[in-house]
Amino acid sequence: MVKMIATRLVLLVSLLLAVSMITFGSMNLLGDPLFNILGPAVDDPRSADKVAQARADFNLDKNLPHRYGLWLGDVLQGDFGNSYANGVSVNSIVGEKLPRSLLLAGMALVMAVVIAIPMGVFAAARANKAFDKATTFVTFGFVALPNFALGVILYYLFAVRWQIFPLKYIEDEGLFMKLKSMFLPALTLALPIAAVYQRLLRTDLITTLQEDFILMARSKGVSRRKVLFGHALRPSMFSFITVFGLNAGALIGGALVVETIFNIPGAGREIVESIIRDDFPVVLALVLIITGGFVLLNLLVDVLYTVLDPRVRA
Amino acid sequence: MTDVIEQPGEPLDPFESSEGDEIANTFWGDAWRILKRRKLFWLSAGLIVVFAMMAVVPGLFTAPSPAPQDPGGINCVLSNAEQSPSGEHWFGTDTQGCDYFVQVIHGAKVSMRVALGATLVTVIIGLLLGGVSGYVGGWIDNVITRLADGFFALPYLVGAIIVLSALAGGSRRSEWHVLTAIAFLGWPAVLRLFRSTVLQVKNLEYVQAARAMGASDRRIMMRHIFPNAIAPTLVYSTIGMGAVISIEATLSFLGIGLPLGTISWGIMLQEAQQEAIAGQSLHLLIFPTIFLVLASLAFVLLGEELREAFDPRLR
Repeated sequence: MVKMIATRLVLLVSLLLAVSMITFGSMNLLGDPLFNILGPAVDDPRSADKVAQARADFNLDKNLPHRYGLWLGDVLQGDFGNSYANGVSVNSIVGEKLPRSLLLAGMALVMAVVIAIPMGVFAAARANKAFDKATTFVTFGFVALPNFALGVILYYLFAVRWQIFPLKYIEDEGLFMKLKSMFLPALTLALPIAAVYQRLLRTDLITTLQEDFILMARSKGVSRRKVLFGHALRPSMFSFITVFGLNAGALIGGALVVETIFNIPGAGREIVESIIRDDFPVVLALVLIITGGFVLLNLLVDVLYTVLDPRVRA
Repeated sequence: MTDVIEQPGEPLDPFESSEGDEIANTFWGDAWRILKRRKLFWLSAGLIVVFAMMAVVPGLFTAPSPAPQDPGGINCVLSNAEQSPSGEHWFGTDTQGCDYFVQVIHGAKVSMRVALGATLVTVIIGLLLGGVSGYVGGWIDNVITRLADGFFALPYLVGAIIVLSALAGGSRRSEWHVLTAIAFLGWPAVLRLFRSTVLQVKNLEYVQAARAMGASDRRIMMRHIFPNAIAPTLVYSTIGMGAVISIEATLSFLGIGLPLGTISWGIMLQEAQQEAIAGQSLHLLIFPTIFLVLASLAFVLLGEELREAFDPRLR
């Protein structure tokens, strides 16, 4: 167990190094950082000293491996440098935007589980009956419907037409308002994930329900509901937990889309905007943090797995 | 990847046709016998044929060109902009007053091209590397699987963004770049799947028999292993095509995929989003969405049907 965690952490560090090198290299080679910092003024001879200043400030007078080394040194000390676009420290940008995305992702996960567990249990309890067939149909629809289309439709219906939810993200009117303005975006993220969870849970539950210990419990006179939620649910959660980690990737991708549609100034939208304006330090920092978090989460899932299923522990 | 299909162990010729033969006992014959009785198979296959025709010969459905200046193109009247659907304009008109039905039909072209291209490249790379990795094993296998693991650690959309921004900035992007980015991130999944099925098949008795009779590695791989290990990859890539359609539209929608002005469902939806949020012209949003979902769903459903037909456990 300890050995497994240690190997995975070593793998994580090498992965982050590789991702940072590739991203750093390709962005610096293909773009023109000076132009991105100063704009058209780069070619203006009158601003020559400004150009020289920026060159020195952002280490652009050094060669690429040297620059990468300097950047990496700063990152190891917890400093991601300054944004090319406005000179603001990347750390403060990340510190401001990332918590919003985490809140969004957390809300979405909770919603997905809250929707998926009862739906999965009811579908499995009456497999191949009307409710089961209807949910199968709906879940396939949600898997095929791209996140952004779902988002725009929900936004139109509940924010524009019926005005139940605010049109954009409101942060400074108390916690309730904050959560309320996050509700639609979180739901957009949650529905497709809930669809996947529901399918998995249903399949696993149907298998579990055929096992002897379920029959045993039923014949002892335990009620149907108690058997479903008390006996069958826990051993049916394995594929569910595995996908939980993998789904984090979909969640990150979804956050990118949803934050753009619902005007939430979070990390996802920041990545898209930084890419469009070639703000490399911000992109690099966010990509590394997200990748690292994603890998750590999957590691956590594997650890959780052994806790849930004693058979894996050996 | 929870339910990888198990392979039956018979050495079979995949090209041996068994159409109409009710006592077919080849793997592919059995699969076909199951498939042809299933309604959802015919529904999804039919939908795919319709979308493929839309992409290849849009003239069958509507005007042969969506551009007003082309011969056979359509008339755009600016004063007709953003009309709701009517008998004359089935899907209404867009912000330029152009017929929307024509554009939605022509949108199939890019979607299908990117989906087919990206899936083909993904599958070819995945099969080559997966085959080598599974059959040869050793340090080559180690290097290839480690590399694939690295790709899995990268969240998909973030990866696509890195690749796209590295390939080409802003307006220089084309559908080739989008295709490359999707394929670049897609192959590790195919590799994993094909490698694991090759590993299962390669130790079966009939492969040993072929080896004992002196068959070359190449012959064993092509004649004996490949035909019996390909089914799960076929299922995965069919479902994958549906996913690619959706991913391409998402990238275009975010403004980091296809360039603006391309006739594509993703771009249409990006433009329609502003209109819909202003509370007008909901039809601009609805029609591309329906087409997008149907196209994507058709491939996903076909894949699921193939999975059922290929999975011996369900027989």
